[in-house]
Amino acid sequence: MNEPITQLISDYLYGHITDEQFEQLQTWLREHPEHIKHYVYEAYLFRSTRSLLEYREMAQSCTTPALLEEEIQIDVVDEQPSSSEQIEEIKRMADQRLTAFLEEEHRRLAAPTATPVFKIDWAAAGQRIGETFNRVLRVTQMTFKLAVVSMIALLFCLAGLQYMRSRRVLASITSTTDAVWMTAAPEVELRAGVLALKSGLVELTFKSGDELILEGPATLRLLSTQKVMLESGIVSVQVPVGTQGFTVETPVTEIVDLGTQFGVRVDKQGETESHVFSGKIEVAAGENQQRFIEGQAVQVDTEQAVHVYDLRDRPQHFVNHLPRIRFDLASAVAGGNGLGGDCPGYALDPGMGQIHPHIVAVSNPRRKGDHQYHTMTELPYVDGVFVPDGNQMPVLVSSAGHTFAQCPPTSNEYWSDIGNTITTTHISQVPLPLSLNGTDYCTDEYPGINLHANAGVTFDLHTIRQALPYKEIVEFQTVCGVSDGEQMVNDPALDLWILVDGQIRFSARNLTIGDAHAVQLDLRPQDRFLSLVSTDGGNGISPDHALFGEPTLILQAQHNNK
Amino acid sequence: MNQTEVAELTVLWTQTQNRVADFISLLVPDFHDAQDVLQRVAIALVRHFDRYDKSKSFYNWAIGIAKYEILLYRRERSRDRHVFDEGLMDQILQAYQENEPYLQEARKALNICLQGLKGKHRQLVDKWYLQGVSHDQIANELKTSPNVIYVTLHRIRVSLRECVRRRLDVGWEAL
Repeated sequence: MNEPITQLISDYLYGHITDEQFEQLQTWLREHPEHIKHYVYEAYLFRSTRSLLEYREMAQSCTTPALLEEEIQIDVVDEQPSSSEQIEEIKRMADQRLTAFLEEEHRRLAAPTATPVFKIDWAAAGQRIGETFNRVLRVTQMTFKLAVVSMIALLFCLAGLQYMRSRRVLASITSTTDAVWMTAAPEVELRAGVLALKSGLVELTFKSGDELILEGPATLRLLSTQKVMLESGIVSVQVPVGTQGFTVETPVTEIVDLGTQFGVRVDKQGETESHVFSGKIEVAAGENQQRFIEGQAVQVDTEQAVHVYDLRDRPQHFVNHLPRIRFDLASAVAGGNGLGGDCPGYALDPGMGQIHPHIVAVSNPRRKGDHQYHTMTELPYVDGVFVPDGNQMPVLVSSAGHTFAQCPPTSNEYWSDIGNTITTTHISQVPLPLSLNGTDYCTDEYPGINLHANAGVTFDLHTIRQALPYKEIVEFQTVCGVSDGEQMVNDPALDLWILVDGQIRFSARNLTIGDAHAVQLDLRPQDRFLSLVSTDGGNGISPDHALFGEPTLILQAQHNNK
Repeated sequence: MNQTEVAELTVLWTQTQNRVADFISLLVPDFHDAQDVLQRVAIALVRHFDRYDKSKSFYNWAIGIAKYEILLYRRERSRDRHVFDEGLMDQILQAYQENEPYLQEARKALNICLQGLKGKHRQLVDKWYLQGVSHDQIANELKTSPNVIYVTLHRIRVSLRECVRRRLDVGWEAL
């Protein structure tokens, strides 16, 4: 056989073959039946090498390189029976003996016994009954023994198979984030067994190519290269494009991936919730099997009843697993969690520090600031609000005492609450759209912060970091400017500012209708207070419809590899 | 299944398992995947034993189930494009069955040849075949490249094959 074909077969058997090479191999196989024989011989020896080695179970570690330079030597040894041959011989002898015994028993059972038709010899009959009974008993005993021996042999084979399977590497740990294990930390290469994670995140890549993130506290049992049992905790799974079949078993259900990204959470009672981020999954609960698609959340309770929801209406169990997430400050200012879902729609009075159920705008009399910084303890991510006026220094912009040293003098008046919705005029009840570059903000589709001058709001980045412990805040993005949503009587002139711990990171002065700026600021781990401020530009607050469109913090995963 | 059927199946499977495993490995070269398929075959045999026609060969029946399980495995692992088509599978099965006695002799010869494999090459073979260490990892441990490992394993395989050929009394004329 020529060398290129030998190499092709090697590449195939060792799992190193490319698509093109595999086609070449198939073409060669189809050319002639002798080629099939070649392949069968090679593949049979390949398999036999492994099975013969496993009988010996030798494990030595290689210590030195330079393999290619060494001549491969195979010494001639005297033929001696190997342990595998001895085992085979024992099996053959045992089978022969059992077969011979059964044949003998069969002959004895089949031997005819003459009985007179009209004369009954009771003694002989009794003796024959007894003999027959004894034969049946012996055969039954032998059959039972045979069954036991065979079962033992089968159990031995299955145990051997199980032993070999238990040594097989199923997955590798590719990264960890603040992982604390309940027992000793596992090896990087994982075999069948249990992972007990007390806290933190662990990323696994399976031999099948599927990727899984485990979030503690969690107990996960690895069953095969494509199957795990989640006894409790949270996992998310991402599979390579075009593949399917990865299975997550839980105490109440089984979830099979049909080519997707999905998450599974199991609570202490075993109740299971699955979220489909993309593609679809199949969920089996009891005798029911159903498929679910992207955007659906499926809950299976302890009675194996299935409840289906819109993903957007469910708690964000898997946010820590996403590599990069967007935190919406417009939602946070209105009392939301920044990650979607329900938002109360609160409005914040910057002059008095009060929370209103919706934005209030008062034209007459004009409301004035009290030169105080008002902390917002009711809202988890908002540190405080204020009316900026450089006429009264210092202008406090955080609960930690940071100040806005460059704050310009203002009228100290404010018209509207701070919120994430548009304002409706107080008297005429006319809604005033807030738009920049043709996009209407402060809507469901395009969130925004309504920050009519003079007003300021400060966010506490530390509380956001605490809510998302496996992520770090890396950036702030927004489109800010003066709304072009209405005809103004007077030309507005206002200033916009973005401060971090009181320091100016962005400013835009003397903005007028339709002026808009796209802002992208890097944030560092030590940055704590992010303030958005609008000042009246020195000509009063009418009309100064400032807005920060899609004000978003970008968070990405932290990793500290083993 | 009653006790008698269990006994019957265990005897039949014990006698047949190795041959079925050999057949599977010819079509599923990855050892662990082949073991997966073998286990699925065993489970299928238990489930469907009531349909087995005792007048026919158990081995042929088991092979038929194995072929089905391999096709199922191939469908499930659709990303693995390196699985032979059905026509080739049948030809490989036929070649295997026709040459089984010779292959068993070759296996005995291989066992002796393996005993003669020494030193670092024996250690490499143990690592790859027995411990399931990947090429990349072996390369890492030996501070060499994966390609060196591939080439060395290929050479070892060829050397073992030549050793087997020298030992066999009956030649395989095509080789």
